[in-house]
This record gives sequence, structure tokens and C-alpha cells, in this order.
Amino acid sequence: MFLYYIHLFARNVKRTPLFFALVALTLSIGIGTLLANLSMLSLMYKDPIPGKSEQIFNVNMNTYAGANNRFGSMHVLRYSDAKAILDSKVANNATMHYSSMVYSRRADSQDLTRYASPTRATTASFFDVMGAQFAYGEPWKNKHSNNIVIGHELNAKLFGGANSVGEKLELQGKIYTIVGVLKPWEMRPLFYHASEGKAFDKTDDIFVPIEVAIDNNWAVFARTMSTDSYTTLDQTRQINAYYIQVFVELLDDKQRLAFQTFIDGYANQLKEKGNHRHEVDNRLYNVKEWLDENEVVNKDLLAFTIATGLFLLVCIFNANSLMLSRYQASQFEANLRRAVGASKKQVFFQGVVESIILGFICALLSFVLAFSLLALYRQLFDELAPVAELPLHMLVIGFGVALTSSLLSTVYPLIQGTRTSLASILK
Amino acid sequence: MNIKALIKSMLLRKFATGLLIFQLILTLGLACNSLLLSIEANDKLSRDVGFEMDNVVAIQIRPTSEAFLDADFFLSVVDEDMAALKALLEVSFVSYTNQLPLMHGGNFHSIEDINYPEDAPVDNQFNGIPTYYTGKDFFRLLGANMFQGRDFEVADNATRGYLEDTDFEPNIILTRSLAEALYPNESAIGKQTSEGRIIGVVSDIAITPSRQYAHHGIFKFRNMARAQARLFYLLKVTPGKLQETKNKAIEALKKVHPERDIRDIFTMTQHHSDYYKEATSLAILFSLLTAFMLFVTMISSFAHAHFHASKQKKLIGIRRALGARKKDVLLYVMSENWLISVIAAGLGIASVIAINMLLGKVISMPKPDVTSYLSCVIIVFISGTLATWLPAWKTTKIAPVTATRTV
Amino acid sequence: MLSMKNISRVYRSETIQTHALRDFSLEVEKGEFVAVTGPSGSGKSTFLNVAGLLDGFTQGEYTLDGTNVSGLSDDDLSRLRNEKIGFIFQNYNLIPDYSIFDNVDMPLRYRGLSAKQRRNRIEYALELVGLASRHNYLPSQLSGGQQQRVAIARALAGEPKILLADEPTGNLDSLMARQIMDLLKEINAEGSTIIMVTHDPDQAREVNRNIQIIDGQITDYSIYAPMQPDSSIALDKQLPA
Repeated sequence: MFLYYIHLFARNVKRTPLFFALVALTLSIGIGTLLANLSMLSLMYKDPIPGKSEQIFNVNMNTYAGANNRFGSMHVLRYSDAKAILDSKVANNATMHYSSMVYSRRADSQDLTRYASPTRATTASFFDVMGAQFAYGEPWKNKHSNNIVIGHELNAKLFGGANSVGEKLELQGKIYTIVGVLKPWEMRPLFYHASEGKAFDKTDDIFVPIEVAIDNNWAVFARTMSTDSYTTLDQTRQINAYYIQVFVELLDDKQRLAFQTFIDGYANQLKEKGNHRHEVDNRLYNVKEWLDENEVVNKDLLAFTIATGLFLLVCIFNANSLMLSRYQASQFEANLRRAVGASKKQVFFQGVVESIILGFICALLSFVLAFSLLALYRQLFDELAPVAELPLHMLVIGFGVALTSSLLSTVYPLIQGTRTSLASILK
Repeated sequence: MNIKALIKSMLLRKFATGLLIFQLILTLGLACNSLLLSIEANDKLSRDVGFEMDNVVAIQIRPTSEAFLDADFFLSVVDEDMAALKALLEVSFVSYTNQLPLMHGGNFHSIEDINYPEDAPVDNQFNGIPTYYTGKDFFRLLGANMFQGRDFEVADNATRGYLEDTDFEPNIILTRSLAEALYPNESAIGKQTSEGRIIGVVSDIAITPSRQYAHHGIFKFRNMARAQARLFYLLKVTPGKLQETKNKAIEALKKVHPERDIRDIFTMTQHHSDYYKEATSLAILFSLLTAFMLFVTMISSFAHAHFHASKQKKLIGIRRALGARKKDVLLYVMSENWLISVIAAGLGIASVIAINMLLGKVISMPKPDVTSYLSCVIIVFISGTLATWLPAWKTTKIAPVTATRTV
Repeated sequence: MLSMKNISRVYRSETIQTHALRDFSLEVEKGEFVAVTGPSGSGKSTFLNVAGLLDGFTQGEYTLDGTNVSGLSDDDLSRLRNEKIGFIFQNYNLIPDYSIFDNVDMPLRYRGLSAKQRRNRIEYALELVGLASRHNYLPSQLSGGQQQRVAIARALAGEPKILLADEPTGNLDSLMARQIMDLLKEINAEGSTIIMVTHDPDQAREVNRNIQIIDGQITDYSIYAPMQPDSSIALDKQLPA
């Protein structure tokens, strides 16, 4: 019977191709636009570190030394504060970092081509806290050594993906030894640097001990606040320059409470000493809270997604009224079929099969449309380019939405259709 | 035209008519809000920025070699760069800056009069002011006029001063809004501030248009001389030779020293449209969606009229038999669409406001106004009429004889 | 074959009640050819709708080929329609963009027959009505009489126990009407039971039983002598299984 229904669907399409094209087109446009937006939103709302996102916290403190406290509790800390947190060992695990950029080349390379390499100046604990996996080697053991870890992409660029542990790079005029190479590492959103529009940047190319980076004045490529003037970064360890982010790992509420108590006490002590003059306001944000706080989900996109949702609704209404017209037009045939022995159920299922096939066609069309729209988004919104993709699970959802929309458009007309009295057929 | 009869005939198809009205209402709501966004984006784009954008090219350049870590070497190369660029026939002015007007993030400082107590909090409008480190001719290149005082002269160059002492007190220029806010009712010229001595006040230029104090800016004649700091070269170019000059400029810079990364090269006009890209892109997306929606609604209007007419074939035949002219029939079918549009236009106001509020929860939305609403009503009305015309016209072809047919 | 006892069919609208059939009783035996006549609005159509299971009834008892239809589900009623009843409509009710073959095929599709079984039946039925060579024609390419033959083939292909015909010749000229009547009589002679609504008193007299419905009741009840099959047309084929 199912095959017969498919056969009938084909006949109906042949009979009124324009009608089916219109229905498929309207539904596909609606589904496609929604799908493209949902895809991007789903990537933006993604949990970047599943399983640990409730246990990793960004530390915000209000130890600003200036009279002005425009930002309140800040995610950029002084070197001294960050170091105090790490040295205290109150947290289960902790790391501090700042963002930099250096030009890199192999020390043994003959030509002078250098690659702009996003760099993270951090601690050896960073990899463990952030869940980065090593393909070769391990983190540095000595935080004052000129040892670095590089990412998969840079390793591919410079060493063709081979084990480069022990190889040397020239960075900012000095030689650094590679002690570890990471496996391909995708973190979206990049929660360890969710501010300053970097939330959808790739993970870094180079990881360097933060002490070494500060000693060598690797510039900060992110928000820096300072109440004291300085010329080089190595002068910032003792002064009020705020540029370091701290992430701590706290396994349960008890640890969290202990840590909060610790930093509050620490900040109070500083205040008593006259180190800063603001109310103690230390905040811990877990990964999700931190991403929310930084509004990594593009508001424009969210607004547009709402609009596309409404649009899909309109498309369903449209398909619905088209379907209604069609069922009215084909009422004669449906009645005839019932007169010669098709049951209501059979006529209904014929409509359902038709609707399902239509849904499939719409799904395929909407994928094409969604891909095109995402390409358009990459053109229109630079910052959305990294998330303008259609992940596999969205294709599944797309099919679901298409089938649902198609069935929704059919259900009322179908019920209407089976309700009519058969007696009319005779006249 | 008998409105009662029209309404009755519409009630015969409650569901379909209801769907169409609902569609029109939503379309109106979306169309009006899209229009508002477009108008706003357009307003932003057409606002005067206070400086010349045409024929100004910006080059973001960053050294890649460690040699530039030495400030003296860095500065000597910049001097050579400036000379090389100036030597280009097509270039009339060159300068450099750490950041461009129309900026999102960058270098910010607080400013107060030198006598302001150090411990007191600074008023919000003097806190976090975009602070530019520019070269000579920066204002002349941009065509920004001095409002008071004078432009920078060679002697004002604070680069060396800062290299020797981080607390150096330079001569500075403020934008007019900032100067007038800092020194209301008196001239700012000659005043000592926490950032230096004011020697000039430049007419307002658009620095951070998306923020509250859009024209506040501090300018110092200074080069950071840091290899890793952001640096733009600015060129004023002969009209019509943009592309050619871009290529020549890159060549000239490479010739001065090859180990540099030309990260970006663009005109200020491009920079301007990039700055507003988010607003315009959103407006484009919404307009696109509105176009889709209008298209879909037109399909609906078409289908509605088409099937309604075919359903009422006999009735229309009778009307024709009883003497209705083709014109009357056309009007009959059209006026049904118009009646639907009128109902939708009435209810659409609610949808405009609802969608405005819904979107307003997420992004900042301009408030709806009568003009934009009426424009949308007209657009929807016209597209509905267009979509109904074909089926309506077909209906006029129904022969009066239909009335007498029994089958 | 068909037994109606005290059937009533009342149509209710908001303001009015119409008794389309009242206390209507009728027995039709296997092999009968019954003509139903009566003025417009007398209840002929209602009778045919009820008999054909297209419409329900308000009161009474209706047994079709041994099955009491009261309280049957839509599925059961549909199966009964499909297996036991063949319809012939005044305006043929063929699907215009289906070929002759596909039109006849339609009821068979709802019976779970194999493609081969269906083909055999369709070919047989079309041959029976004299359209064996026109499988691929569209209804519009045939004359009215031929179209009605297709409709008859469609009704026959399902091997129904009873044929219900609603003014089968109403849209045809007299020559074609004659041919269709002859065809129906042949089919009847083969053993099929036929109930035919007609306006034509001559046609009514041709068959072996004639009932008249007025105001939803049978008022005239006359039995004519069973008609002899026309010996000039020999039906020597058996319907294939």
C-alpha cells in the first residue's frame, strides 16, 4: 500500500507541479532560514568542555587600585593577585594566562618567513585545567625555561605534523625548545578567552611559560588596565597592571566555598593594607555563567532567529492554506476512492505519506538553502564566520523540523477532508 | 459593493481566511520592524563623521623581525617608511596612528585638569577616553580642522620624551566636545591636564559613534615604538588612483624593510562601512526575510483568491447572468483581498508592537512610528493586490452560462 | 442479498428535520435487477447512499449479503463497499488524468491483490465492456457511452455482489443509453444483482422488478416477469479469481 501511496504522490505532483513547488518552496525557505540560524546558535551555546564546565571557574576580583572603578569586579587581575591564588593551592587546580601574538619560524629555517602565531602565556597546569591533550611530549617542567608547547596546526605548518618535540623555534629573536605538541584541539566557544570578541577564535598556536613571556616582554593582546605607567611588561609584576586571567578548578560546593572564603579574605587583607580602596567583590563564574556574562551568543543573530521562527510559522500557515485548497480541489477524488472502498484511514494515510515525502523534499531543499545562507552570513558577519557551519546533528534536527512542518501543514486539511460526507459523491 | 455579503463569503472559509489574515499580520509586524532597522542603519551610515574618508588609505603594519624590538631601529624604519610613502606621486599626506577614528577597542585614558584631586573618582565622561598616538599631519590628512589653538608641530613630538620617562608631559590636542566638557565656558588652550598640556582643540570627529561620548578623544604626537603594538600608516591619495597606490605603497614599504607583516590595507570608506557592518548586515538579513515573507504571503493571497473564486464559480456565474459586469466581478474578488488587508492592517499594529518588544529584549530596537507602519501597510496592500489580480481577472472569464449548468 | 427493515434516515439542520427515508423496507434477492423510480427529492438518492454504505441511517436494520451493517466501523464499511458493492454514477466519476486502465485499477488497489491479479481482472472487465484495446486512453478521449462503460468495468472488476447504478444513462443519448442498458442486462444475466435508480419509465419496465419511492417510502411495488437473457450475446467467460 505504501508503494501505491508513493505512486499516487508522484501522480499528484505531475498533476499540479506548480502547487507542490510552491508548498515545497515556502516550507523550505522557512525551514532553511531557521536551520541556518539554529545551527549557529547551537554552536554558540555549545558546552566547550563537557563534563568539566560546572567545575571550572573564572575568577573576577575588584582590587583595582585607582579611584575609578568603572568595571567593578574584573576578570583581568594583577600578576600579584593571580600568583597569590595559584600559590595558595586552595583550588583543586588553577591556571593563569594572558593572550599574546608572536611571529614564529623554525630556528633551522633558511628563509625569513614568519607566521603570525596567537600565543597563550600561561602555566603548565593550563593544559590539564582546559582539557588539552598532547600528541607528543608534555607540558614544561620549569616555568622559567625557554620551553614551549605548540598546537596541532602550527606543528603541521612548520613540521608537517611530525613529532617536533626537541625542535627549536625562533620567537621574538630568541630560541625556544618545543617540549610538547597538542592533538587537534577545538574549543568552541573559546571560554578561556571569552572576552574582547575572541570567543570564537581558534585555540592558540603557541603556549609559553607566563614568567618567560613577561620576562621577554611579549605584549598583551587583550584588555589591559593600569593605574601606573610602564614601558615594558617585565615591569608589571609589582605594579597595578591588570591583564591576567585566572581559572580555577573547584570540584564541589565545599571547595568552591573554601576558595571564595580564601579570595575574600585575601582581598580584605589587601584593602586593610591600603592596597586598593573598593568594596570586596570577588566573583566566580563557571563556564556557562562566564560565557553568558560575556554574551558570546550574538544578540543580532538571536533576534534574527526569533524572526525566522515567526517566519517559519507563516510558511507553515501558508503551506496549510495551500494544502487546504488542494484537498478541497481533490475532494472529488478522495470521495471517489472512499466510495469504491478506501477507508478514512487509508485516505488519511495517503495524505500522511504525501506529507512525509514532501517533508523529505523540503528537508533536502532547506539544507541547500541553509548552506547558502550560512555562506551569506560568513560574508555579512566577520565574527560569525567560525560558527557559520551546519553540524551533523542540525541536519537531523532539520529533518525533524521539515517533517513536523510538513505534517502540521497537512493535518488540518486532511482531517477536514475525511470529515466530509460521502453522500455528495453521487451527485 | 456589499460588505456584508463579502464578510459572509469570507466566513464560509473561516480557517483559510483566518490563516491569511494571521500571515498578513505577522508579515506587517516583521516588515515594519525590518524597515525600522534599515532606516536606523541608513541613518548611522549617512551621519557625518567629521573627517574625510574618500581617498584615505590605512595600512596596518607590524614588524616580524626581532630587530624592531629596538626602539631606535623601529623609529628609524618608520621615518624611512614615511619618506618612502611621501615620495609616491599619488600621495599628498602621510601619517601614522595607533588607532583609527570609528573604533571599537583600543587605547583609553582618563583625563582631568591637573588640579583635580588625585584620589577623587573621575567623572564618567572623562574616564576611558580614546587616546591616539599619531604622527604629524594626522588632522590635515583627515581634513579635520582646528577649532582653537594649533596643530602639532615637529617640536611637539613626544616619542623620545616618553622613551626616556614614562611620566613625560606632552602637548596634546583634544576634540571639541571633550575640551568643552572639561573646561566649560572657558578656553581649554594652555590648560594643564593629567595627560599633558592642551595646545589645540580639533573640531569633532566620529571616534566611538556607538558609545555615549562619541566624539571624545585625546591626541598625542607620539609613536609607541613597540614592535608588538598596533600601528597604522595613513595615506592621502590622489582621487581615482586608489588601487594603484595601494600596490605601490606595499612595494615601497617592503623595499624599506622586508620583514614586516602588512596585516591589512583598506580605505577609510571601507573602514566606515565595516564599522557599521553589523547594523547594516542585520538590516539586510531582516529585509531579506521580509522579502521572503512578502513572497510567501503573495502566494497565499494568490491561492486564497484563486481557490475561493473557483469555489464560487457558480455564484459568480449567477451574478454575471443577473447583469454584473466583468468589472464588478473583478472588484468583487479584489475587494475581498482588500477587506482582508484592512483587517490585517488594523490588527497588524499589535503585531508590530509585539515583535518590536520581543526583538527589543535581545537587541536595541528603534520605536515604531506611524509613517513606517503606513509604508508597510501600503507595501503589503500592493503586493496583495498584485497577487490577487491574476485569479480575479480569471474569474471575470466565468461565463454567465455557468449559472444554468446543473453539473 | 440486500435486506432493509424499517430504515429511517432523518437529516437535521438547525431549523428543519427532513425525513429522507421513513420506515423503509426492502428485500432484494440474489440475481435481481431492480429499478428504482420516483420524483426528485423523493429519497431515491438517500436510498442508494444508504444501500451503498455511503451514508448511515437513523433507525432500522440493514443486512448486506448476510452482514448486519449497523455499528460497523469505517474500516469494515469500507471493506464491504470495496468487496461487495460496485457503483455506477450518472456522471461516470472517472479521474480525468488517469488512463482507462488506472481508473479501473483504483478499487482493486485497496484490496491487496498482486499486480498480476489486478491486471487480469482489469483486462477482463475492460474486455467485458468492449474497451479491451483502449487501456491507455484518457477518459476525455472517449465518448460519453464509452466513459460509462469504463465506469461499469471499474464497478465489475472488483467482482461485487451487487451493482448500484445512479441514473447510469442520464447523461447519454438514447443510442448509447440503449447499449449501456443492454450491457447491464447482460451483467445481470451473468448473476450479478443490480439496483438502478432511473427517471426513465421504459428502462424501469425492462427489468424484472420496479419500485417507486415517494416521500421516503415505497409506494408502488410491481414485479415483472424475470427477463430472459438475450441469447444473442453469449457470455462464455468466467471472471478470473
